[in-house]
Amino acid sequence: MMRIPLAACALLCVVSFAADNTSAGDRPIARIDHFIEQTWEQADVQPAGPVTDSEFVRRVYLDLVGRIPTPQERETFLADQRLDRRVHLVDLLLASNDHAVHFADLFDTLLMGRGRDRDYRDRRKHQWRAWLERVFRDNRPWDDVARQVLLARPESPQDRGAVWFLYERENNHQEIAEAIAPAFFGIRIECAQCHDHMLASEIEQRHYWGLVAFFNRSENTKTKNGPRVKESAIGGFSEFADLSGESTPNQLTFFGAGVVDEPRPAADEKQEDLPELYIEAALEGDPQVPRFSRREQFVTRIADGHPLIARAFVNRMWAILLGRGIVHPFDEMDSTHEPSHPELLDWLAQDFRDSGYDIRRLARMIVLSRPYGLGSRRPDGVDDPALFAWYLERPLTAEQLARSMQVALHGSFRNEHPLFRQLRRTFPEVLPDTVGTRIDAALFLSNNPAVTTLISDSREPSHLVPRIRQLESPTEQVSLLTETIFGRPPTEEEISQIAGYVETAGDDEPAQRRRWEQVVWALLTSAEFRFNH
Amino acid sequence: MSNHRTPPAGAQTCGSSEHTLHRRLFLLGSMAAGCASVASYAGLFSIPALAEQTRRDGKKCILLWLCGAPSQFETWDPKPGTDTGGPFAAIDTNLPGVQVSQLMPRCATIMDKLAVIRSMKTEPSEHFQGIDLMTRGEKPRPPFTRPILGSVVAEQLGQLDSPVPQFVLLDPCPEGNEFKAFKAGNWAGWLGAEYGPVRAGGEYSIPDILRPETLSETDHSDREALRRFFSRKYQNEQRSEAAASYNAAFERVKGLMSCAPLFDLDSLPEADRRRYGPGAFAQHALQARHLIENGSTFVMVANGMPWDNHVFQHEMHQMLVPELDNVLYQLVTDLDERGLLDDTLVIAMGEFGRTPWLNEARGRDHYPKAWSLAMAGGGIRGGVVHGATDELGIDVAENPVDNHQLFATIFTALGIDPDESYDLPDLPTFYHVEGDATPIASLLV
Amino acid sequence: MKQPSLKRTIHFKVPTGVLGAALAPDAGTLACACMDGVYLADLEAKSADQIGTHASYATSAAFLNSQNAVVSAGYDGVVQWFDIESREQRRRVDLHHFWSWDMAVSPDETMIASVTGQYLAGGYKYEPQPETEPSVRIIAADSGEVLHDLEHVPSVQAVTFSSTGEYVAAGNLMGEVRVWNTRTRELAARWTTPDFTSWGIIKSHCYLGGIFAIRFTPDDRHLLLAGMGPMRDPMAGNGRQLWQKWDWQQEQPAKVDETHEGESGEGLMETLSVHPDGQLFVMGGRLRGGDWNVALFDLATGDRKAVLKTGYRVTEAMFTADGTRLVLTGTQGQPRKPEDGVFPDFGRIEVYDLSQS
Repeated sequence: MMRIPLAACALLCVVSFAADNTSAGDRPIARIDHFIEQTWEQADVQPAGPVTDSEFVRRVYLDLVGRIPTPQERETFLADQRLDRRVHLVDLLLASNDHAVHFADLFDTLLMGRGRDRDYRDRRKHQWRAWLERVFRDNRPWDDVARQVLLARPESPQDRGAVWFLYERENNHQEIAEAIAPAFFGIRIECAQCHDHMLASEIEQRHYWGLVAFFNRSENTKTKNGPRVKESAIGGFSEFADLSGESTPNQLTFFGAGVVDEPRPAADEKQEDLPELYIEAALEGDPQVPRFSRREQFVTRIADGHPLIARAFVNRMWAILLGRGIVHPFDEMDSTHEPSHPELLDWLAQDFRDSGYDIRRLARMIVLSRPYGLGSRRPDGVDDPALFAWYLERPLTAEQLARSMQVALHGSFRNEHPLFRQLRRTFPEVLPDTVGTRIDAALFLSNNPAVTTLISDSREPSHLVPRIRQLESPTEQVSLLTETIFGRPPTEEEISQIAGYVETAGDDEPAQRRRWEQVVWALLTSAEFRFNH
Repeated sequence: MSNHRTPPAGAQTCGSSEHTLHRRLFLLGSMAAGCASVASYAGLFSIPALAEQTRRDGKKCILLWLCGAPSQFETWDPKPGTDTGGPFAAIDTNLPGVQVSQLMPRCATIMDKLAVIRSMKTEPSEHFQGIDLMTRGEKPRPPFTRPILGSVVAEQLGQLDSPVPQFVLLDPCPEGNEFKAFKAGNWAGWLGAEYGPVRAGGEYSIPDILRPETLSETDHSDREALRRFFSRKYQNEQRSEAAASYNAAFERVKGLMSCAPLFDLDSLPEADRRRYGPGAFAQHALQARHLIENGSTFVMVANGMPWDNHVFQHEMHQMLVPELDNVLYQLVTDLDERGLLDDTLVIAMGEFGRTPWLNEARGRDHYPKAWSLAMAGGGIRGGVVHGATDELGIDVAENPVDNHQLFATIFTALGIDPDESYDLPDLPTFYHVEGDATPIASLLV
Repeated sequence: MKQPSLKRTIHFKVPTGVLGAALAPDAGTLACACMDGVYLADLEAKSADQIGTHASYATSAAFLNSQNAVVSAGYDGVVQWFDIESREQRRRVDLHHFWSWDMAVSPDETMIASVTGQYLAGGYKYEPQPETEPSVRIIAADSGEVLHDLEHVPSVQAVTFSSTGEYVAAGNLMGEVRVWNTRTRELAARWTTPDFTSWGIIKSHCYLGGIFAIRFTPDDRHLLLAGMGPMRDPMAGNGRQLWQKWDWQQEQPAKVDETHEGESGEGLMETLSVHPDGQLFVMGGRLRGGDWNVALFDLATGDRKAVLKTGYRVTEAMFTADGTRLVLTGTQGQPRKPEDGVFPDFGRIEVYDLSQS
């Protein structure tokens, strides 16, 4: 009998263990890796090395649940002996409520834009937030989400939040069209209002006005069931003029789709709004529904199965998790913006469709792919971010910052903290096209009391500064500090710098505490905390 | 407008106990040099040596950014009595044989100080692309972002340790369609965000510019020094451009705080404010002069995109052009009287011109094929009209000028070598001006 | 009321855009103020002859039948008289420094009113500067002598006389209407409607629009105003096609009606005219969105009765004296390229039969 060396045994075990765990779920990940690696070869670049577990845990918490991990969560992960501990962590995070809230934050901004304080209150009050969180909590298919939002006719009371996408736009039908195009189709159509898009000429004026036409019979109304968007069975016929004065009648059409036929009244003809043009709504108390509903036509004849729906979504998810879309900017998927990996994009879109528009599955496979797990230090000889040869640093969103600062200071967080509102105003960007800091952000962090007060108000024994001050040696103190805030141990130099600074307070207790508060400020506002890397 | 308070009187200067405290932070490398802890704007010039240093050797620039694109027919290249000339007449100027629109009577008296190019010929006819081309000088070459003119000038001629921002954008209009999108983009490009503009004007009165009362001067400096220590470390170890930009923004905070009064329109002399005119653009043009006089290097003044008159061309230009006329006149005259004109280049320009024909909506549309701009001072020769258009203004008839030649001329006038390359690591070779563009000799002093 | 309908019978072009026009009493001749001068058009013959020029655009034309003359005003601020027969210029008066925005002749042909005013920056938000010359000037129609100089705020864009000429009304950029008694020169009424004026929030932080047409109703009790509804981005030109009807004789003038919901699209309206039988009025201008640029309305109820989509911007709409026809003038966009070396004509003149059933 051949004596198999122990190491080889172990290797075999590992291999078979890994093989046993190779599920259907790994094949898409392998496909992603393949497309990306192929481009590295073609460009002859060496990608960054893989990220350590210590770095990975901070990164994936931020990307999937919108905050840094607590030291306990970090330790739990690092202590996990399983070879596929990252897979388990990802699955754990994706199933958590924090994930639903974080993705709801992202998609609220992507679909609705940043709003005034009043808008955020209304979005909660009218169940838009709750509905959006449920989408991610229940992992609702994206095509279903699109359908619900665009039709805005809830079939059960718990889906009533979906009407808010249209409702918040206050009957501004052009604004609605300009929001739908990037949100669901990944293209911007504003330029096509007065003439065919000057750069991406495939986007025509008739597409713009066609999209408007699908929604221009809609009107906000308040019912006993709450706000609804009712729809007339008549009207909405007009012409649009270009700059030379030529006018064209608006037809029901959109980019990448045909024309939905509809009888058109003569110019003088007054249409009569007759009761027989309507049927009752599914929900009692909801407004009646036109038999021929333009919104419904849009959903069933245009949006359903439209290739851009899947394409736009996978591109956006890629941008969210990898810092940059395969088409960049992520909402300009027109002929003037080539995808960096066209085959990957095609494949991802098809795979997404085949999966039934499974959002969580898509996020999972991207997060477990090789490009996601690369280090964030740009390697030598590469400068094109579109190669995804290193993990692209990105700034924390306002919500990620607000949660992470609380986690660092308190070990827990509240989603209703006033810090959210203050940070939203200073750091409104989600998926910015470029990463650069403007001076007003630095001024805010330096001079606005928001962050300083948050720190100085954190005086419970369980909070960071009090806990630090309970410890004896500078090493212990600074270790707790950097482990909590950065998720790593301090260097010797860091320990001596901080210790030196705190010592200047002498025996003065309040002065010591103030020193530590300034130290905490310095770390919370440092680049290492500000960015996801 | 801005409603901040002026910094408290008696702010610290060198020699105080604060200085001693700061010495403790030498480990953290907090203070750049000696007494550079400038706590107040007044403090800056109370130290004679420092005041001398900040007085300029290099040139400066004011860009009156006429966004939306002004009509050359109603400004520098009138065609009275023709089908395309529009309803306004032309008037003689103090340059024999040269006429301007009747809407510019004041500039007509100082044409000997202005240089006008009537033969601009560029490609983009869409705003965003036009703005991009005429503020950066070249077409885009993604993924690299060429810095805006102001960023280049700030980098080449500005003084980085001056507390006064070297590149300021004054634009009180929060909206502006394509220009709004442009304002949200990356202005400083590969030079790094520290060369991006500080934006002010109207409601942009730089919030959070004053230290909160609950925080002492020392704590404010010390914690920034600490922050910088940690951030620098991260930036260097990570080779992080994002962190570099982030840190650069913080570098400017202190300086900016010390010049808060510069951004308050109400602190400008009343007589000057009346002379320039009441409109927002005029007021901010005055503020630009003030900023330049007090240490800034490049100030860009805009007010949204009011010149884009596809509808109501003459109804709008009748108001906009006289304001521009007066502003340009006041600026050039003021700078001349103060002995600053030779060192300060004033440019009045939009992203293209407007069509010779009037559209159906009482408007002129975009026209990059033949358009005009004007400059004065800062190494540009006055009393020159360069180039010409044909009888109806449909095409350039003589000496077409494109963005390359224009930028070559502007850089040369300012003392920046157009053929010099940007010396930056990890960047392909880029020159200040690409190709073989020669500066226009007749426009240079 | 009967349902009016319009059928085009005559249409032809003139070299440049027609900016203002007036019908001779016989409805066969049309005096046109065009971008390149003053024309007399023969409607049956579908032709037009130039009889004079202004230094730039001519903006208004009117008949002085008692003098056998046509009077015109232009952007050069000049008013000219032309003899209808000889087509010679009889007189010119340099009336304004700035341009004449609009001109009206009193029904008894004794007075001519012309309005002017350059919009200039008067405040931080670009409120208009006060006038530097009289914004409203009334001159004797026979001699050109100035009878009245009346004060208003520039730019004053529309002017009209009441049925006896006792009153003159003028509207401006800011939507302010002033009505004076022409005998006593007293200000009889004054109010502002903000509904025609935009402050360009998106691109242009200044005021645009205002009142572009103004007419008394036949009983003089009401004033009709026309223009474009407010826009956030005036460069889109997408304000509502808007008329308003005001009871001006009250202590506090009150709006009694305006374009009805659902009956208007978007675009600047710049002409108003009341049908001789006093039942209908017409409003015309530009189609930017919607399906019409000329529409007939019931003067009493304000209901829209008929629409036209002409395919060009209408600058003047007039009824013939017998009320059987509607005459429209206007302009397409100026052409860019000559065809065979000649620029195509872009001014438009049309006649429609108006039948009511």
